[in-house]
Amino acid sequence: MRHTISYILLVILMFLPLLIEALGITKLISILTYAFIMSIYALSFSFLLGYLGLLNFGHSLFFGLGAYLTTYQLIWLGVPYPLALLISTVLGSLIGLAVAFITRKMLRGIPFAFITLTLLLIIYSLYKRREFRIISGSEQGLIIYLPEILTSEMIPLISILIFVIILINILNEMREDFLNSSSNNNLSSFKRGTFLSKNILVLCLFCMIYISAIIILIRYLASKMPPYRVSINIYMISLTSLYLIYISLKTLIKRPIAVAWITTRDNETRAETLGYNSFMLKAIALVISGTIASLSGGLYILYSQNINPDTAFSPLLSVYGLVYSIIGGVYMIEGPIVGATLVTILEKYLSDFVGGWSVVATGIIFIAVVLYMPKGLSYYLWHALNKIFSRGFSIYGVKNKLVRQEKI
Amino acid sequence: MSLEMFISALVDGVALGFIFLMLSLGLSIIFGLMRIVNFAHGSLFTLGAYIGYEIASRTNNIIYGILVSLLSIGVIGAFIEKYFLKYRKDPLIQVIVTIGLMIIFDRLAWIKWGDITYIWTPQWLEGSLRIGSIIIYSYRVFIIIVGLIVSAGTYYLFTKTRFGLFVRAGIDDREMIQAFGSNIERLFTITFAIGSMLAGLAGFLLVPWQGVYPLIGTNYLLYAFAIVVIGGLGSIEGTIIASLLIGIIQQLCAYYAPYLTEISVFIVMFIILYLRPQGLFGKVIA
Repeated sequence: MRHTISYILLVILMFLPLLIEALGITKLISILTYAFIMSIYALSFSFLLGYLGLLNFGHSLFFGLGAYLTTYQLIWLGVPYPLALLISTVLGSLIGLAVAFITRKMLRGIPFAFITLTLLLIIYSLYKRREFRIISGSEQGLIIYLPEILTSEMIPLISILIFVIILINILNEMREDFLNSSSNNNLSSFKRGTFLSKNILVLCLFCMIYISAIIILIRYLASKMPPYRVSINIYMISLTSLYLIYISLKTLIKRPIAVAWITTRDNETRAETLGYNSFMLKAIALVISGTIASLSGGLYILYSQNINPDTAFSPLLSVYGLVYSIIGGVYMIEGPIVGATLVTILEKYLSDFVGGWSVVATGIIFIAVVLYMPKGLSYYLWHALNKIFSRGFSIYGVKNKLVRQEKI
Repeated sequence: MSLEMFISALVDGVALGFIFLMLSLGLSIIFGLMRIVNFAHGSLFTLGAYIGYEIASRTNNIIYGILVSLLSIGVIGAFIEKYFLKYRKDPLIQVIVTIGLMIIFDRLAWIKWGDITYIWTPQWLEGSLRIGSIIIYSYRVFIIIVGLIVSAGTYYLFTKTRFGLFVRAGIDDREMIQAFGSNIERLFTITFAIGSMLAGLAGFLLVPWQGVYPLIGTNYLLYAFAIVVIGGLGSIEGTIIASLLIGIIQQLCAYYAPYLTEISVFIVMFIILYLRPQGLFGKVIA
């Protein structure tokens, strides 16, 4: 059911740009783009916090460096945007590795939070100096001219990637179920088999809807002016990359390495006694996190078309990573996405009506969630959905049973 | 580039060091006793500065400003401790709650006072003293005097009185003093209130020098973190030495190498953290 919900949501989100004109919610598309980019950022933050127990107060270092490195490639070297994004994510992984090596003596708890904060502040105060305004753009920032490719109407084709991944996922599940049902031939597996054969119809329907959505979107874009096209294209790109990151993290946490991470988080001494190299495990996690965060930075410059030290390296951005993760819930992989989307929509949408009070509202919700719903909104949302559909689903699959739920 | 300039830089540095001291002493004690990294401390600093500014510029008397900012921030601190932090035993949750409070307070201050920098100086402190060819602003001397009085008082409170004995015992072993029958909940509230009072006072004392703007609390909180980390979390002596050190380093950089002003503090913090993760005077925290 978890899959079904995510597929339905995806199709709705794909169709959303078509409804914008009909419903008159032009602002929502840019808000959602920002929400997706921040969701990617929040995923990388909560991955470290939830699976490694590392509270990274210097996380916007990855974000900012990703954004700036992409900008340099676009402005100075003239690298085409997709390649620039790829290169800056690779560089982001190297930055993650560097951070892991610099902090190797204190990769736990409060010392880690402080040393990453220090690293961030050193880079931040360097970039804020007027002497370095050539590389930092100082207060008005570096201006990014949008790449030509973004005015093309074929960009929505990128979401075929999502489609392929969903198909592979479903086929994989079918194969597993088939193997299960053939190995032990009892009543429950027989039931499952019939359930799947029913699902094939739904699958075909889904394929048709998805492909027609893409085709309609492309034809719709062709009839629009370039600025409008650009905003929808950026929306599609960020939606696609969010889904790719989400799926790859989700596959990652079903691998044995995730259990090793959780062991290290809960009891590092015991993990080392069992023969795990805890530094190596943490370094791998930091590399992954750095890659994802710099990808979100690279996408952010498309959205804002301007980058300055205060938006890229602000320590408040790291704090917001924590806010998103905690409001959504850390241990469910969907948590940070829920948190980031909710907070972004709330702040950006309310700020039209109430000005600065929208941030106050975020703070109040944040404290309320921390005090009264310590497992995060996504956990309670999931339970509510389960009750509505009244099926006995567990939150984690059997393989993830080791994930502890009680502590944040 | 002379001795005079060096001396006035030194005086500025000591004055800034005392402001850092008042700010970070509360942070350090709160961490030592309650194991909370209090992110709302910077916002209390900002609030103290604004409240003191409002009172002092209306009444045109700096003493009223000091008293009101002390008392009101102390009350706010006690309120925060009593209603937001008291019954939550998990330290991480408490840290996260203080982050939420920081977001709320900073934004409320921005809504009320806007992006303008407010500066107000009492007339009798506006001039400067001349000793030979050395020029020293008299307000810096005032800060040093007030800072000396306040920090001596705080030091006396925490080292010589019975209350301070309990606090230091609590820093060493929290469960033991509970077992001896002291009311640790009340101790927490009072300590938190005293720390907040010091932060509010530091904020107000900075108004005539650098003015007050909404983000000043966050900026100075970062310095206070640096100081507390350098001195060792929970160590009173370490905080005193580290804050004077950081104040002097920062002002010397501001006079002789302005491009290093902010970064110098963090580089010192990085080096110390790298060589001694527990800080100069701190104990190893498990």
